[in-house]
Amino acid sequence: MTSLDTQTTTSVPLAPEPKGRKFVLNALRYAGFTVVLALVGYLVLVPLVFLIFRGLTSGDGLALSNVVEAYSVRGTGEMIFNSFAFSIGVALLATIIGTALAFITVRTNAPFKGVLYASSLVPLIIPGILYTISWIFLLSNRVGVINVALRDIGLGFLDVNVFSLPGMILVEGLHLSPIVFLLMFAAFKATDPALEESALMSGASVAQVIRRVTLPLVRPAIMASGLIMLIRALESFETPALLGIPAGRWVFTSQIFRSLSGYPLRYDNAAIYSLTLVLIAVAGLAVVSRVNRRSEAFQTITGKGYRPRPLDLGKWRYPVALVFVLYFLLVVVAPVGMLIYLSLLPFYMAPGLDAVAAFSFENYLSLPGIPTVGRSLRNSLILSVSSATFLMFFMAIVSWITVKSKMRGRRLLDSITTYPLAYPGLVLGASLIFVYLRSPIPIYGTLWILLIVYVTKYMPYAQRYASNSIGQIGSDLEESAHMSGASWLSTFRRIVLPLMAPGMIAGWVYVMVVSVRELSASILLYRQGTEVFSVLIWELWEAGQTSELAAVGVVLVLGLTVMAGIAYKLGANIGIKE
Amino acid sequence: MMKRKIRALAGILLLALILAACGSGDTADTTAASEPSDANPTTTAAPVEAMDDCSEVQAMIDATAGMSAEDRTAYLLPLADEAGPISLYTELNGRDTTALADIFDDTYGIDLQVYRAGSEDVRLRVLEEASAGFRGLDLVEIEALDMTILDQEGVLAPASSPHRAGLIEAGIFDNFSADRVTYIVPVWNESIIAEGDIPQSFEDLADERFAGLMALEDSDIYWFAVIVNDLIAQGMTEDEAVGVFQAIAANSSITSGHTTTLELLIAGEYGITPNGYSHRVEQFKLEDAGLEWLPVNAPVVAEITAVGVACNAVNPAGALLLEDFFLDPATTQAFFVEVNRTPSNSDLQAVAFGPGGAGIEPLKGDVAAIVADFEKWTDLWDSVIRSSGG
Amino acid sequence: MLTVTGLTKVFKGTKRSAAVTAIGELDLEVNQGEFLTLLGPSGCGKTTTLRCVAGLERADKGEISIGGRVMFSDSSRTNVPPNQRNIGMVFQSYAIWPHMNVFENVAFPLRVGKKSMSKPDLQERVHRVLDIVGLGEIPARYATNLSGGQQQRLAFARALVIEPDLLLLDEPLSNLDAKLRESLRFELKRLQREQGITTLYVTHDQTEALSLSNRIAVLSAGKLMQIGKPFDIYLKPEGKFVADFVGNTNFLEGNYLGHAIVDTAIGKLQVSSTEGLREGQPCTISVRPEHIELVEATAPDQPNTFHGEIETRLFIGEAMDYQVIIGDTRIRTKGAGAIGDRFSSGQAIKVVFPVERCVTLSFKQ
Repeated sequence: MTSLDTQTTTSVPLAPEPKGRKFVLNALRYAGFTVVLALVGYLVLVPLVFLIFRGLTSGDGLALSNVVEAYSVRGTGEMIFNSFAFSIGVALLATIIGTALAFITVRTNAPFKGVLYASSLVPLIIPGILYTISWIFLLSNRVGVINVALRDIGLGFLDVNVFSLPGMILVEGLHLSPIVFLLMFAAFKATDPALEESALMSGASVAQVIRRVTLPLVRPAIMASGLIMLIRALESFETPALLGIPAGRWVFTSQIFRSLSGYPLRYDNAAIYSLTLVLIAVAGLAVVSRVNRRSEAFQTITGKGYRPRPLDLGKWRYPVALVFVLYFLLVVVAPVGMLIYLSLLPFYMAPGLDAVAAFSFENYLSLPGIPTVGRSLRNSLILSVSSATFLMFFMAIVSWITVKSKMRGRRLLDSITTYPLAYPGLVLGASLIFVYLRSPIPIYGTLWILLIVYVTKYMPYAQRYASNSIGQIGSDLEESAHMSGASWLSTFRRIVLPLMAPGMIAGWVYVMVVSVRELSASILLYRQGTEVFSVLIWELWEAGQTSELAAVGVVLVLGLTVMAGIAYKLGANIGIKE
Repeated sequence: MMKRKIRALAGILLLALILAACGSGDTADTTAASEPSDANPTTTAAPVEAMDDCSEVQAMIDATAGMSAEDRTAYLLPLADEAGPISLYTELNGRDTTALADIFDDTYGIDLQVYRAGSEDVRLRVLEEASAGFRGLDLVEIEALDMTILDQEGVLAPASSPHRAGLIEAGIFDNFSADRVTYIVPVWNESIIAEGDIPQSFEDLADERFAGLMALEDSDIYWFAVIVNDLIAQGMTEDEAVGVFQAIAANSSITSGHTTTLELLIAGEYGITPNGYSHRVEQFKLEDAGLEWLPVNAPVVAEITAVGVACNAVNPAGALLLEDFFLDPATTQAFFVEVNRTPSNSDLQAVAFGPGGAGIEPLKGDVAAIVADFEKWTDLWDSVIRSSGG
Repeated sequence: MLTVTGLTKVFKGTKRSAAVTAIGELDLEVNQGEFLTLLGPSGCGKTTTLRCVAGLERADKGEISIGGRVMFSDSSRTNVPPNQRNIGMVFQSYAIWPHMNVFENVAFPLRVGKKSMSKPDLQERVHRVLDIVGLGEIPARYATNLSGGQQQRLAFARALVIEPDLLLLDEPLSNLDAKLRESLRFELKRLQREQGITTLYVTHDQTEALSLSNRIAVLSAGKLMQIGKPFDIYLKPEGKFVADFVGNTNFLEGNYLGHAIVDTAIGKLQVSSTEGLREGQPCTISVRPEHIELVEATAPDQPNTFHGEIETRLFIGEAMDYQVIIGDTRIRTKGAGAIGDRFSSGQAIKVVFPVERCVTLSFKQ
């Protein structure tokens, strides 16, 4: 029997290339790889080097005794517990919800899918401060709108106190779930439905298909997304501050903040805490990579006539639709509704006739009068669009290297691109000030330095979108292009990129939308003329102009939703037509 | 089709980058063409020395020593004008800085280039720029605590404005001067805390009637230190003083952020907070939000915001001119009254509040000492926070 | 065993494309143990038909029943889900699960669904099927480490292991190279005959169809053109489409003159069957290239002999393809490779159309 099975692929042997040309091509390939590695390394390692440098040369340095001391602050054990409990809870919640919704959207014939797309986007747009404050007004113990309503209709036992660990996990988990949704959307789009169909034909029920075939196939993407959520939650500041402190739940990020803003400035402690985060990220990534090693071979988009057909949910359509609507209510309607409500009032008032009487559009009318609003909006748009575009193209190439090529050092490249997840914005900003004040590259005080912030900070996400999209394109697709005489660049541009398109568009939208919100690094690096929108938002908040801020939030949501919609429409034409 | 789309995208990206490059030099609101980095970082002799080299500013200070305010202005103005726009790093918000910049422009015809951020962020940036020998700053306006750090690092030139004579005593420091203060006082929601129930003293805040109604904001370590010192001066031991705070915390939920705290107070989630910002309450009172802080029966701590002249100012004359501007009762100090802030000028301060606010004497805090012991205070404060009632 | 009646499926139009009738009123019957091939070009509806039988697509009208059980019927709104039809299916891309090894892939159908087998029974059945397809030696190898041929066998094993009533195969050999395809063709035929499973096979490759099937159904644009045994389809095509699609052929248009003579562009041609022909009527004659004889110009005449000239010749290994000009008409012929060597381009020869190989086509288009 085995004598018949001699070929390993269905390729026809190529005519041997002239040796000289092959050498040049190889050299070019290695040169290209080196350039990419150098650029990524430069962007990612600058803050790390800065941290280590400052860590070593300030305070008590990075000696073991100092590390012990840094972690012997009062309540360290409790803080570590809280940080991990919070982060793991958020990661689980966000990953489960995001994955489930992505699967249902991509793979089944559920109704109301448009609602899901909106739900995936709006929470990303709402600035963190506004999102959390909306939830405070919705769920705070005494006056939270939802709690009051529940009590009024007799369901008081259901009420949730947002100032609690479960409350924190709920708010942040819901807030982050759209990220997982977008990541897994890309992954599911890229898998071959024939694998599920053959499982059906083998007699498996829909649930069994999902459990035994679908999920294991996207497991690499799920684990990577979960890891990102974990690091993200460990590093998050707003929710633990606004919700955790009142709950008596302190987490480690406030320690980092304290060490960089306390008296005296403790760079060494900041370095220790941040390096811990980086180590966790690296370790996590190593674990995920190991577990997913075999899945590198899970190439499922092949050239063999791939035509996605949705799974029929049958009688489950209606419960699923209900879940969608509930999610949409929780994640979009409630916070945005609260924002709209706030924006129509001079200050927060309990819902009632008095409040309605006080409604006015004054906050909206005062928007154009806010100083620098036009300029900061323009700057933010330029920066977010540029960084999104640059990142997605760059990461497409990087992920081609890390996923599809056999270059040595590609694992290192993959690992490096995730470090920025662990950099607190404050550290990123401080490191860039330090470096570019001394570097011959004259970008300090320009928009370019802000571009570097965004490109560095969102690199891990862009890389994740790109590798989710590319990981499942079969090599025969590229090989056939080669055989037709296409150069690597041509193949990449005409074959690989279009097939990656749905995931790439999702990544582009994500980076564009989220970069508008970046604050902690931007605020250190801007100057008059290069202010960005997030600084404006922060200022309004600090000045106590909460209602005006709510109006800004509403306008921002509308504007960015429209932009994202345009991007999806444009992108739909580039990718696979359905 | 795909080709065209890619070309379109590339074109947009290129355009965006070009706009970005242009945008960095362009200022829509001010017409100044030069950038703060007129002096290239690479041309300063030795970066470390530059921090201590106050020679230019010192010369200017010496030249104007003993002059009256008007004479000093007349001397500085032409020099400042010649040197170009004046660079201000401040924690004041956009609305107020824009208004001030307009007033400055109207008065002197010179542009202000303003960088606004949180007090700690400004501090970080100033320190980084100074240590790199980068001259980007003329005048900095931040909290006294952060200013003390800058002072200790040798970043500041001596304070020299003639208007210092009119400031409250607590606002005068060697190398910086208070331009405004924030009073930290108990604030309550009038519909939850009846007039007869308002706190009668600081210790009264620990009373049972406030249990479960109080919100204690978690970042006011300076306020804590000043009051503890005051209680000690009145005869308590440190432990007892801290104990008062712990008892107050036992009545409270801990909140994060003064804005959030006041919003929740207005909403009715809480009824009272021991450490609210008086000027914020005044702003809310204009809208009938239902908050009140008068009469105040507890010690008032004044958190000081100060202005300091940078040693290696780019525009030394301008820096001094701006310093005067901030402390001048005719200009900025009056402006602060208009926007319901508390100026540091002692005469104007009395005017700042209505009938209930006159005659408030804030506690004088030893900023330098508190900064020196900050770790101890942070520790003690942590112990207070953790005794909260939740 | 499988009965399809009046099957219709229309893919709805969108803003960009018009509606497409994939299958139009198709009737089909596959007998127990029979190997029926759906043959046709892309877009003819063969894969759609197969997927409707499988339950992966839902037709708009018609009825499908397997073994007497109605699986789909639009009139009674019946639609049995695909995982309950007890059908084995081999996909064009094999759809082998990359995260499982050979054993697990084949065991999967036995572990899911309603059946429950004891562990030893399961092991026994899986190993037996693996032996049948020739993968018995490598049960632990991961699916991604298999060659194309091995993957195909694995897909086959997985389909067989549930001992299905019906086996569906969607162009399973199309991804293999020529040599492998040929040898697996033999394997497939042998296996099917041994197991005796009713099989519905889809392909566009007429050589496959001719060599594997008990019967062939030729489809074009959703309609059934002809159904019959391979010999019949090949030698007695009904209509131009079938004649052209199944194997190569030469078409000669002409008028029927009566007495089994057709007047064509190359001259008068004697045909074997005059069924359905009326005098004076235009008709088409189909002659397969391999049936046309080329003889020396000096050879004695036979019926249906014409003078012609070799225009080009192509050596394709086992045969020689000739393009011959007779007058203004180009005819393709095929001769055995080695012997065919004797004619060269430009040579004048005689072309003989054996009478019994001239097939008149009926007017079913």
